[in-house]
Amino acid sequence: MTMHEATGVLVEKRRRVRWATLRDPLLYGGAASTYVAIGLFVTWFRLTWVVAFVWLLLWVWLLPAAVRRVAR
Amino acid sequence: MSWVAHDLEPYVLQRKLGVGVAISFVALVLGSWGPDMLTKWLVYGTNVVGLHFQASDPVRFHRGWPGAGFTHSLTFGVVVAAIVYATTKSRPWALGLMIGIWLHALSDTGDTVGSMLFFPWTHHVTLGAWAYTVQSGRLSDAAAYYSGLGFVWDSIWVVLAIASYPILRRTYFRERIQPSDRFWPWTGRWLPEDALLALYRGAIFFGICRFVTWMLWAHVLHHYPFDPTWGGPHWAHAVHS
Repeated sequence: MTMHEATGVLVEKRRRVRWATLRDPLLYGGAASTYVAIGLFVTWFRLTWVVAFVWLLLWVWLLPAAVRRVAR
Repeated sequence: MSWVAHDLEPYVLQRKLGVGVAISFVALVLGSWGPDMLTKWLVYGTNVVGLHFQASDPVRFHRGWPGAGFTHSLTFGVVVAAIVYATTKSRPWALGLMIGIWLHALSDTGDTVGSMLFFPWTHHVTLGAWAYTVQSGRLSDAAAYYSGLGFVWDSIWVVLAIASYPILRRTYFRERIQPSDRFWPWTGRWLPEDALLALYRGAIFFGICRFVTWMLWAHVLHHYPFDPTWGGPHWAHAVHS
């Protein structure tokens, strides 16, 4: 492996570690802030746990899965 | 009546009881929500295909007898646990449901109606700390709850739940939550770990988010006055047992 390739691998590894650390706070934070923003003005949205669970699943599971599929 | 407390109590209890005692976390959450899941839709009223269903006396239906008030009792927790244990032989589920229902019934003694903890003895145990106002409708009820000591009660649970953050970690979920409950391997046949984790963290997400939303709605959008005095807010019409 050349020096250039080794640096590239290291950068990629660091990027993955950073994303793994930030992934949950970013996704859950995004889900929470949008849920509160919508819930403030749409009453039914904030009332039932079913909506909250679906919203959370959408943000932390389906959205990243869709992004991964598009990026492939 | 407590609102967000019922979403967060299971996490705090899991932190305290999670060591040594096998309890199904899913059962704990279902137990904590159960008494209201069985009654609230008729207390506030529900529209189904154009028809409106509502209890003629919401207060008696929710907390009284005759009515469904027995769901808010310690006895109900024992009966549900006995039935679940007899039919499934699952100790973690029986325990989880019983403790969840107990937590719910005990939390609800904080309002001015209280709960019949020792049903069939129909005496209501009540602290009378915040006004019970379900008869005024869902939005007015929320406004009253989040203006009186109810918001203090929920705030305490929000702080305690956030302080329980180690149990929200992925490693804790893998090592402690999944092995103690057959629900997770069963659900895991269709869902990946990220989705299972979201289900596990769902109640705390819902609880904290709706606490923030209701507080902003009541005090920033609608300017309901705070009255954190015992039995308040006194601008709302409270029912007493």
